[in-house]
Amino acid sequence: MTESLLREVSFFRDLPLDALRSLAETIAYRQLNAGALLFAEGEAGHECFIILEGNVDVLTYVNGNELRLDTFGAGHIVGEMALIDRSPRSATVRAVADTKLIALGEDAFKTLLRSNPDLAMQMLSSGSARVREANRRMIAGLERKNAELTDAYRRLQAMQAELVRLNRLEEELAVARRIQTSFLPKHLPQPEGWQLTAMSREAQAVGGDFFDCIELPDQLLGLVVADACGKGVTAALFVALTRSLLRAASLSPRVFQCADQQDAETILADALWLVNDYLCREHGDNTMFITLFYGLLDPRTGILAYVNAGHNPPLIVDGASATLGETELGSMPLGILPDQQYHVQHTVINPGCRLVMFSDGITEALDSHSEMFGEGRLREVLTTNALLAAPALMQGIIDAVDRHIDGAAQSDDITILVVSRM
Amino acid sequence: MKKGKTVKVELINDVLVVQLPARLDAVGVASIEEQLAMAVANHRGKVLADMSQVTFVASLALRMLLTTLKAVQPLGGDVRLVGLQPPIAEIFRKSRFDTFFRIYPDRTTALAAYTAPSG
Repeated sequence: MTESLLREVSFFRDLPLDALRSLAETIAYRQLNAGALLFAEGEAGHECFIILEGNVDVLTYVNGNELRLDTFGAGHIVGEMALIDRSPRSATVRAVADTKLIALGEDAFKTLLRSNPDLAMQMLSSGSARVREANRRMIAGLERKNAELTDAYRRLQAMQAELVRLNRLEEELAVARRIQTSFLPKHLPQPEGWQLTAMSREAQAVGGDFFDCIELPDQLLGLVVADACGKGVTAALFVALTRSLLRAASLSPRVFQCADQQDAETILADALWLVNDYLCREHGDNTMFITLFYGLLDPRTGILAYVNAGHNPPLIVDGASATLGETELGSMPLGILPDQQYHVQHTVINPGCRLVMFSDGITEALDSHSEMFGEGRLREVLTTNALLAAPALMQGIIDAVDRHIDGAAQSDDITILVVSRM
Repeated sequence: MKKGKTVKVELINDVLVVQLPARLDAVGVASIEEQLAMAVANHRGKVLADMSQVTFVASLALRMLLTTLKAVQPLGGDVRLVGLQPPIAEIFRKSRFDTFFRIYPDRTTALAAYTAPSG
């Protein structure tokens, strides 16, 4: 029975009958359930195994990860290496399915090989084939790893180059931001009986809002708050252009408009005509526009002549009565329709009153639930703090906005210019 | 076309009716402006922007409408707006964009005005 079973194993097909008989007396049968270990890497080995049924995985472990070296089925011999070179098991063998094997002790194995050179040769040939296959796989694995490493190195280089590029961009933006900050007035004039304060805080590196205070002849003060369409660099370039044009046109009416008169109304109407017309004619293709409030304040009388080009109407707070008034609406923003005539309007900032000019970044400041600060809250802050002078009143507004957004990312540029009369 | 929101566009008679999405902030505008520009360029005529779902408009949204208007005006077309919710109407009023666009309370009124001889 055992002899006929052994005869079916390819290794023993040509073994003489007497050798087969003596082999049959020395072997033992082993049965492994699927998943059971036959032996583990590193163990001492005193037996080899021939698979009769089922199959086994030959496994090793690299950095704690299981790596399958081979799978053997019926007719294959496993574990013979430890018997040949008397070294510990070089790999782990685990049954994939339920597996039947015969176990051959070290002495029987060696006797078998010595007495049957053909079998020894066959085993040598099978061992050499395994070594060759293992080498081939190892080289293929190394080549694959090498290709992966080269690829990873290339990606790392590309990322590094991208990082350098981003750093450079960041530096350029920092320079742009410094230049933009230098465009804002460093000191606001403080005429006797008046206090002026302003701030601008960008949502991104550079902003699309600006404020200005232009000191004009005859003690007139040009008060500007503006908001270019969009945010970031595009808006910032448009801001730089508009601010410079408006300043130049206001300060040099003779040069820019051949105007002899320098009253508030003429300066306002002519400077805005020029700036708007320039933006439309030279940059109309971009469909960029800018909302802008421009008021000329005479600090001696409190009279404010102004033009509102599509900007949020500034509010006037009466400190004594804690009431609010709104300046009049005006015309379309600058940069949309060329050759516009601007209608100048007037109001008076009486003693005890504050003029609050702001961009929609205040009223449209969003909290983490996308709820706007809104004009209602702004009006509430203004009436509650109606008696405060410009710096404290502005701080009160900023604090209220910051409390509202409560750490959420600033969604839009915020600009505010407050003028208070004692 | 960029990924993200799409604009619902339908043709009613000879009017291209465009349903704008709720949030027309920078991201909202970026996700629809290319599709809107293509639809309008192919139509070359009367456009109606239905803003009844719009709850937020950034200045870039006003710019998008302005660009659309400037694209169709030379071809004899127009862009009219309907269904502005009160806060949105307030933004149009303060920025005076309400003087630039014809604004109607609803689609029916706007479509009737488009077909009227004086419309």
